[in-house]
This record gives sequence, structure tokens and C-alpha cells, in this order.
Amino acid sequence: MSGVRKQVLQILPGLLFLVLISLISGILMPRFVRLLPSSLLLAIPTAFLGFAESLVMIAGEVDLSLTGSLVLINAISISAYTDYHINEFLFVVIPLVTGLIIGAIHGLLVAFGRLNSFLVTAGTSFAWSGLALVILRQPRGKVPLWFNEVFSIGKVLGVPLAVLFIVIAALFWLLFSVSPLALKSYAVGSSPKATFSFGIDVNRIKFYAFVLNGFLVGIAGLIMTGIIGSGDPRLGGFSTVLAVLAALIGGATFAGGTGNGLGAFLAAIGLQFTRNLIAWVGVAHYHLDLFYGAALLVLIAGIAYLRRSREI
Amino acid sequence: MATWKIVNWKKAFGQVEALRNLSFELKSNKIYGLVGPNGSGKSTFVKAITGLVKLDSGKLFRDDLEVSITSPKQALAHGISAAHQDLSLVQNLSVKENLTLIAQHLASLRNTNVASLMQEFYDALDALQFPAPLLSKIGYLSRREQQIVEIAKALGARPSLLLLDEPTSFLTERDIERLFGLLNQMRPQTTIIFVSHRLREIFHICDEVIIMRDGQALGTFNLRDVSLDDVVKIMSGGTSIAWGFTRTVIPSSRGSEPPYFFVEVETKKIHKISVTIQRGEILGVAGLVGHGQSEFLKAIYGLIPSRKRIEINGKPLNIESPLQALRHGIVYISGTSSETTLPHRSIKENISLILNGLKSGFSLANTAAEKQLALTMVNNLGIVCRSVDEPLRHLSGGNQQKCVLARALSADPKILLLDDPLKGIDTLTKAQFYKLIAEVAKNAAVVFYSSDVEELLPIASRVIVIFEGRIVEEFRGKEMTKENILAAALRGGNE
Amino acid sequence: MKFEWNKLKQTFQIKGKIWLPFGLVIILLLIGQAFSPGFFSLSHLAHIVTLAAPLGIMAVGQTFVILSGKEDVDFSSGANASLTIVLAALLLQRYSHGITTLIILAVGLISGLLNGIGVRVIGIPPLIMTFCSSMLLYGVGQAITRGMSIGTSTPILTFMALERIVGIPVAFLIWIGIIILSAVILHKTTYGRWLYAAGSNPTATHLAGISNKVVGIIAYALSGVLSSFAGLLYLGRFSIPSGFKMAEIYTLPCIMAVILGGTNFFGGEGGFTGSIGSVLALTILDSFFTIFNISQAWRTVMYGLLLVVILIFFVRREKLRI
Repeated sequence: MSGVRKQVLQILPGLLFLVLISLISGILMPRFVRLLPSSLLLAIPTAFLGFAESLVMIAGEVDLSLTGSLVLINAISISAYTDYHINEFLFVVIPLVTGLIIGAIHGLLVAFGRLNSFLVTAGTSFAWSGLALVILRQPRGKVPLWFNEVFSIGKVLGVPLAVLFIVIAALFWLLFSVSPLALKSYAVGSSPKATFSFGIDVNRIKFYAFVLNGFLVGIAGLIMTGIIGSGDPRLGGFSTVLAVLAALIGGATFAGGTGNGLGAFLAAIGLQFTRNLIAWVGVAHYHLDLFYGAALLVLIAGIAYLRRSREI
Repeated sequence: MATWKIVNWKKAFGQVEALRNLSFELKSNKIYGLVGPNGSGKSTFVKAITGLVKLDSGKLFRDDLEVSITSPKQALAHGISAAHQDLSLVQNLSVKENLTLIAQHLASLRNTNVASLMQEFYDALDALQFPAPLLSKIGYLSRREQQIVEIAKALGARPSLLLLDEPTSFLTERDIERLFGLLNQMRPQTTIIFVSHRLREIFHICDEVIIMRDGQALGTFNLRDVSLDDVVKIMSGGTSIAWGFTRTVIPSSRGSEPPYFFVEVETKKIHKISVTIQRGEILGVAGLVGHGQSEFLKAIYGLIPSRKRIEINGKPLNIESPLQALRHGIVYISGTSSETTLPHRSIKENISLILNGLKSGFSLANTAAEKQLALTMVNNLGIVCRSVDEPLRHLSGGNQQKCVLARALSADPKILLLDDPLKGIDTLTKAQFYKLIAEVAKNAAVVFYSSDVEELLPIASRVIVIFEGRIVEEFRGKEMTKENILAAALRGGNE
Repeated sequence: MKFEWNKLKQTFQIKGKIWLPFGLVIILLLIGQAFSPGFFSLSHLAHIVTLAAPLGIMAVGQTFVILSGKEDVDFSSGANASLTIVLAALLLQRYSHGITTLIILAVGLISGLLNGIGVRVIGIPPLIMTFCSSMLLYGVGQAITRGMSIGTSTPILTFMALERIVGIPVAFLIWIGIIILSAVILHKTTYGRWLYAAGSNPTATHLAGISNKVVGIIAYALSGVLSSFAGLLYLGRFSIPSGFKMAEIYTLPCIMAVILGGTNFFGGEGGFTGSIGSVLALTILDSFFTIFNISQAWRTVMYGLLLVVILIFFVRREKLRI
């Protein structure tokens, strides 16, 4: 059963990182354990973003539009309910469908349009966040009552929401990693020409990677909307960089062909906890972003340096 | 069990015509050898028929029905499978995963189950006695092991047309025996094309041989009707070219003086190679591809880390980077144009690259001098171009390589390191190169490695043969023949 | 006959790349004239040029970076300029123009070097690295301003940014001056040769003894200095710094201008001439947005989409089956 062993080895870096940060937080911050359920829940959207980014990086591409996509999904969901009064039970579907569509657009542009994924998604990020602003104009809006209740209570059938989402993520990764699509994705990211010679449609696999990515971003958007309970076009911040870093910790590389979604998921939670830690250390609000940004950069540099090939 | 007809295949990559009206027929249940000099289009043919390269024009017939192959998927569907020269394996995945990917695809094509197809692959691996565990990552395997996987991948697919492009360069004798055994077994059901430089092997296993040159097929011959020498003659275009000068003579060393060039190198791949070269000498380096020849040259040039001693005229040098090497007058060029050419830049910029590298970044560029140098070089080397301001990519492959050589010459080298510089160059250009190299050698020393032993013979003073990172033999004078060198390369010296 | 046709096509492809943006400018001016008479007039042209200058200067720096390698791009141009706006406004309250300028350029140099080292020595992909450093730069700006608006432009800066000498905008003169200086560096120095070589084929460049690392680091440093300098002109124009991200919206146009101006995104070919035209074209487009009262939000959307369109025409991966 070396497949299981391989999985465990891959998840380890992300898991260890999370455990490490949690331990440090637990020691330094007195109320860490008590606040865990809510701080965990707050970290879940980013965790799904890390998972989403992994999928795309496994296939050898990058998605830098996460900040913009997240904001747009939030905006469309809120607007659909607040402005257009869609059926409240359909509310959950909107973010997922929006995410799928965004993913499909990216997939078309990168896989079939043969455009550079770095640049394209950087460009669409601007487009999506601009659209979000156009739709919402300012922080406003509300979510269906039942939806709000679920998030206020923080539990479903007695199970803390965060735990539920972690289980969903784990199941998702499990299903993906045993599917033929996963094997093809790793192949495509590792050696696209060789995979092509096997008769596999490389472009189609990359397209699927982006669509799945979009779906997961949709989930992240859904959860984020539930957490804040309204729409905010200024959301996002470091999401993209966080997700990329989480994917890197989870084993992905910019060259493609490696990575682990669950590892990235856990690593992202750890990165969010890191932010809480920095905030708690007493850094003023205005300096928080600077220090956190610097910390992220140092982490990225560290990983890149350790992994750099003997290039010129 | 099908017959195939290739009709008028044409393919050009930019200026370079790789295939030029290629036409021949393949009858079923035969093993065909496909031979031809470097650059004759053999690999392009293999890539085209497996769907990796799109033909400019041409037709393909299977059992007299026209088929078109527009992707690897279609090639596989038609029962065409290949072991490529530059392996097509997914590096990050294991052997088993690579084979699974193909098996899954074939299973859906042929409506069988994956397990039975995987069994075929495993059987092929067993027959070739694949030594590593199936779960090893391809990237961690040795070149030989990867080659075995590549071959098993092609054979195990039970194709109706099997192509093997230079499959034996990294295999041991025993591996080759086993491979030939398998091919003989497959003969009744498969048409096989065996592309190779090694004519002895072709004669051993093939029924007929197709000879290619300059993108065309010169003919298909039954191997019972021709001899090895006949094939060589046809390949090289009839009469052997009179090079117009004799081999360089090694100047006698004047006893007490320190040697002009002494180098001793040790790297991961090279156990210890040490050579002494006199001024005016051209040292030929031979051996099977991948046994350390290229590493040797790159180590001298400071491109790869190594433990070494280098002395010019007795003075020890410290060379850790190409810049340092250049400062001491050691110049390196290779035959891989993707490593050496600046395609978008002008001819004059390409030629002046090393000289510009030696200057300080703050200094002013001298366009006039660059132009003058380029014009001189174009004249002396016979470079065909419209103006020296043209982008390099407008030139043919041979002329581009001449510009690279011009770049090396402009640096006034004391030691010229040539890493397979004549790959894919046509015979006429080769002759011109020989003249130029001989000129350079008059006042310097040249180390000339070629993957094609024949290229060394007209010009080398002596030839060393490298096998698994060591010098195993040295030939000079009358003993410096192709047969001797090849034998030493294959055998690994006197065993 | 066939031979000549190819030569014609090739000449057009090279020259065409540079003339395309200027052709676009003419077309846009004509469209503008149709909607608002007086658009295609000398005085309005001077106004456009004044607006375009800072972007043009950033594009020069960006050109150096894009020329230097296969994926190199500077996503922190707008951030550099934004930081300059708030930093200069703050400093000018207390220090002279000379010192302020030195400090500003030093900051730009440092951020450029940081980018260069991150990309070339540590191995972080350029878009990620410059994206991160842009976040850092915004972070510094945020820390400095703490949400307040401190300081304003000075008469000298406003003069440089908006006024004219003998009818010619000062900003334009500065822009052209910088282009001339940069062109000298690019075409007349050995470094310029190195830059083109590194972008064209890093392996060959390395073999020739040239350090791709050094070439890249200097390119990023130049971009950092130039985009910082551009910030001074922006301060002169906007007069009051409102927020720490004022120049963020210029990052994408800066990159688009270089690609549209005929510089190959993969490095090794291109220059500044085309960027003059493409910067003008993008500025005219932006002024259309203003005329039609298009909100900042919609502009962001447009720029995002425009980048995608430009990529479709200028930057595509090669096919798998050649």
C-alpha cells in the first residue's frame, strides 16, 4: 500500500507546518485553544484556495487571479440574493457555478488559447475585482437567513463547521487523487510533450484542472460569504500569494508535476494562523500587512532557494 | 500485419528542410533498418509518423488506404508505436504510472481491460530484464534503465508498426541480444523499423535497409545483396570526399619544455581523465554517446563542477567559470544550436558575443568594429547571408553553426574545445569546417569530440576513446581506423 | 518572386511591430475627433503627452526587464510609483528637492535590486517576486501614511508634471530625455549587448562568459529607479496624495505598453521606440474612459480584458505538435 504511504509523505510538510505554528500560537497566545473553532473557520476559505492553486500547479500552470475571483464570487452571490431576490435555497449554488465559469474561462484561455497562465490570470484578476466593484459599489448586502444562522452558530448537526469543511476537503482530495484525471494531471505538469506522445489530450487536462480550481474557489467564496454575511468588494488582500505559498509548502513547484491539495489546504491554515500570530505580537494595524507580506516573501524565497536547480 | 506506403513527405523547420520528398514502402512482417548520416531526417520521420510533428505535405497509406495522422492519439489508434531517441517518458512519475497511462488509453481504444495490457508491458520488461523496481521514478533511473522502459513501452503496446530510434546507444551487449530476440519473436505480427547509426547491428537483425540522406530515401535494399561498405558508400554519396589536406601531424615535443596544454579532470561521471596536448595538435575524442566526453569538455571550460588541474605551458590555471576560461584563452562551442545561437539577434552580434562578454559592462559597444569583424568572418568562413545585420535565424543550420565557429575564432583561442560541433551539418560545410579548424590548430591546440567517429578521422592527430568516464584506448597513425575506434568504444578497451 | 514576398513580409513584421502602436494612436485620435471636435489638435496632443509621460517612463524601465529574459516582468512598477507619491510628499515637507529625489531614487534602486536578487539569485518566478515586492511597497506606503494624507506637491514638481516650455510639455521633454539616455545604454553600451543576448538565449550567453544574473539584476534595478522617478511626476500631477495605491492602476498598462510596443515578451528583441506609441495609445484610451465617465471599477475591468486581448495576439505558447 505504498500509495497511501506516498500520500502521507506528501501531506507531511503542510501538516507539520500547521502543527508547528499551532504549537507556537498555543504557547504564546493564551486564548488560542479557546478561539480555535472560530479562527479555524476563518482560515478555511484560504485553505480551499491553497487546494485550488495546487491543482493548477500540479498541471504545470499558475492561477494568480484568486483574489479577484474570490471577490467576484462574493459580489455575484450577494447581488443575486440582495438585488435579484433569487430563491434562497439556490443561494448555495451561485458561488459554485460562478467559480466553475471563472475556472472554465481561465481554462479556455490558458489551455486552448495557449496563453501564459501567469500573465493571463494576473490580468483577469484585475478584471474580476473591477467587476466586483461595479456590482457591489460598496460593502453591502445580506445573505439568506438560514445561511447566516448556520455560520453564526458555527455548527451543523453538532459538528463544528470547520471540521466539516476539513472533512469535505479531505474527501475531495481522496476522490481526486485516485482518479485517472489526477495521474494525467501530474503527467501533464511534469512532461507535457511525453504525455502528449502517449495520446493524451494535454490541453483538455489543463482545462479540467482550471475548472476544478474554479469550483474550489467557488467553495472558498461560498464559505467566505457565509463568514462575513454580506458583500465586500475590498476583500482579498494576500489571498493569491497565500494560496501559492500554501501550494508550494504542499509540495508543488512552478515547474509542475508535483503537489498535494490536502497538504496545501493544511499549510494555508497554518499561514492564516501565522498572520494571527503576527497580529497578536502587537504589530500595529498599519504595519501588519508589511510584516506579513515580508514574512510570506521570506518563506517563498526560502522554498525557492532550497529547490532551485543548478541553472545558469 | 499491414503494409505501409510513405509518399512524398515534406517537412521544413524554418529554413531547414528536414524531409524532402521522402518516399518508400514497407511490407509486412519485416524488420527494416533506417540509416543515414546526421541530419538526414530519420528522427523527423519517426516523429512525423507518430503524430508529434506535422508534415507540410505528403500522404500515408496503410494497406493501400490513405490514412492521416494528425496526433499521437491517431498514431496509436492506427497501431503505430515508437521508442524515441530522446525518450518520451514522464520524469516525475514511476515506471508503473507511465505504463498505466498508456495502458488506460490503449484499453479504451481497443476495448480491452487495462490489466491485460499492463501484463504485456511487464512481460516486455521481464524479457529485457529490467533491473529496477517498477515504482521507481523515471527521473531517478539511469539512462540505460530509462531506455529499457522506453523500449518496453513501445513493444508492449503490440503495435502493427513499431519504430525504434537509436535504441541501443545506452544498452549493454546482453541487453541488445535480448532486444533482438524479442524483435525476432515479434516479426510475424509486426512491421519494424530500426533506426540506427550502428551498421553492424543493422546487418545483424534487419531484413532490408532504407538509406536516407538529406531528407530523402535513396533506396531500399535487401541486406543479402549489399555489404556494409556498400551501405556506407551510398550513405556518404558515392565517393569519399577528398578533404584536400592531410591529417595534422603531432609536432614533436621538445623534451624539457612544459607541455602546451595539460588537463586532468574528475567529475561525478568521469573517474579520471588526463591528457597532454601539444601546440598544433588536434585531439580527437570518441566513444559511445553519454560516456563522459561532453562532461570532460564542459568541466575544462568551467561549466560544471569538477576537481581538476589545468596547465598551459606549465602554468597552473584556476578555472571555475566560462569567463575565467575565456580569459585564459580557452574557448568552447557545441553543436547544439539551441545552446549557442541567439536567433533574434543579428549575425554581427552573434559573432561578437564572446568579445563583448570579455569587455566591461560599462564600456561602449563598438558597432563599427563588430560589423568589420563580421564581414571578415563571413568572407573567410564562407557564410551565406544577405547582410551581417540580418537576424541569425534567417540563415540555414550550417551557416548558423559557422557563425558560432566564427564567434569562437574571433576570441583568438589558445585551446579550442569542440563539443560535437558538426551535428546535422551537411558534407560540404563540414569540409569547410575542417579547413578552418586546421587553421586554428596551427597556433593552438584543439580538443574535438564527435559522436560520429568518421568526423574525427580526416583531421585528428590522434584519437582517445572514452568508456564509462575513463580513457580506455588511444589510436594514432595507421591504427587510427574507424573499426578500431568503434570496437574500443563498444568493448570498453582490451577486455 | 516568391523570395521577395517573404522578404517583404519579414520587413513588415519587424517594422510593423513598431509602427502598429503609432497607427493605433492615429486611429484613436480620429475616433476621438469624431466624438469630441478639437481632440485631434496640437494643444490636446500636448495635453495627452503630458499625461502619458510618467507611464512612458515606467514603460522604459519595464522594457529593460522584459528584454532580459524568458519570463521576466516587473509587476511592482505601479507600487514603486505609489510609494514615491506618498514618500515624496512627506519628505518634501522637510527636505529639499535634491535630497528627496535622491532618497526616492535610492528606494527605487533598492526595491529593484531586491526584485533582481529574488528572481535571479533565489529563483522565484518574476511575476510572483515582483507581485510580492509590490505588496511590500504598498505595505510601506500604508505604514507611512497610516491612512492619512500627508503633504502635497510642490510648485517645482507641478511645473515638471503639467507645465510647458515654449509650448512643449516639460514632462514630455523629461520623458524623451530618459528615452535617449536609456537608448544609449541599450544600444551603445556593452551591457546593452549583454541584455539582448541574455534575453535571446541565456544558455548561449552563459557559455560566452556573461552572467545572466548580473544582467537581470541590473535590469530590475533600472526599472525600480525609473518607476520611482515616474512617481514624482505623478505627485506633481495629482498634487495631493490620496491613499497609498494611487499608481496601482498603471501597472498593467505599463506592461501592456511594452508588449504592444513591439518588444518580445520572451526577451531578446525590442526597444523603446514602439513604447512611445503604445503609451500614447493607452493614454488616449484612458482619456476616452474619462470622457465617457467610466468609473475606476470599469476601467480596471477594461484593462484586465485588454491585457488578455494583447496576450492573444502577442504572447502565446508554442503548439505541442510542430
